[in-house]
Amino acid sequence: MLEARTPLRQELETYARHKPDLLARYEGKFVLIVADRILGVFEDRQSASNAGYQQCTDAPFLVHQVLPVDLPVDMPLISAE
Amino acid sequence: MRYEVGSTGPILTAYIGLPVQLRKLRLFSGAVAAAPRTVTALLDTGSSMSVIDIGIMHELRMHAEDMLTVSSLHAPLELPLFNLHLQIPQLHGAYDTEIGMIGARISGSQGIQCLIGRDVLQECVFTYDGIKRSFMLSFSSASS
Repeated sequence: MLEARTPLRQELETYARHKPDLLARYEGKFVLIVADRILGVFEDRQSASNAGYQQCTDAPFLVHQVLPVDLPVDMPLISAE
Repeated sequence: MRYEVGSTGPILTAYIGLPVQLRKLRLFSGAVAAAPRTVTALLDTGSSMSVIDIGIMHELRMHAEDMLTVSSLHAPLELPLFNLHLQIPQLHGAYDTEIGMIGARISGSQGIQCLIGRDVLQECVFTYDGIKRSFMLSFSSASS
């Protein structure tokens, strides 16, 4: 379960709910989500971000790649905020 | 072009700012569109993605657009991803792109505010000469 303070918590929960359907139809693409709404699916992250700015301007939105498993990123020099 | 290796490694100056489209929309709506920040960037072949100091994201009033799981020295972390406009003006022809960067504190940073990771370095030739304490960086094109 995501903690309440996690940024984009609602959007990530929306993604988790729709993940099976998204995987079946859009694996590898990028989904744009605001709150509990899926606003679109895009070929690349930049296109999804630009659509997010057009539709939401400064409101938070999620752009997430539709993958079976989210692979961790290697980054040895950093720590939590 | 050849650069001197600093005490903390291969360092460049970079500009970090709002994505072009977001900047235009903020200006159009009358909101504050913060000017790009000048940052000290370390070329870091150990990072698969580039990293920006989280404090700079707060200054620019940026929202995270994704959360990624990161393998760090200590434990896996959930960290925010920001979409940014990155410019490296020192390079011949300059490097100018929009890119997703992880927002985090950079440990033992010694003034380093940005790590240029392999997501950027994969587009260039990076040569490190430890004997001469210099490095070279050239991109395949002037702008991505």
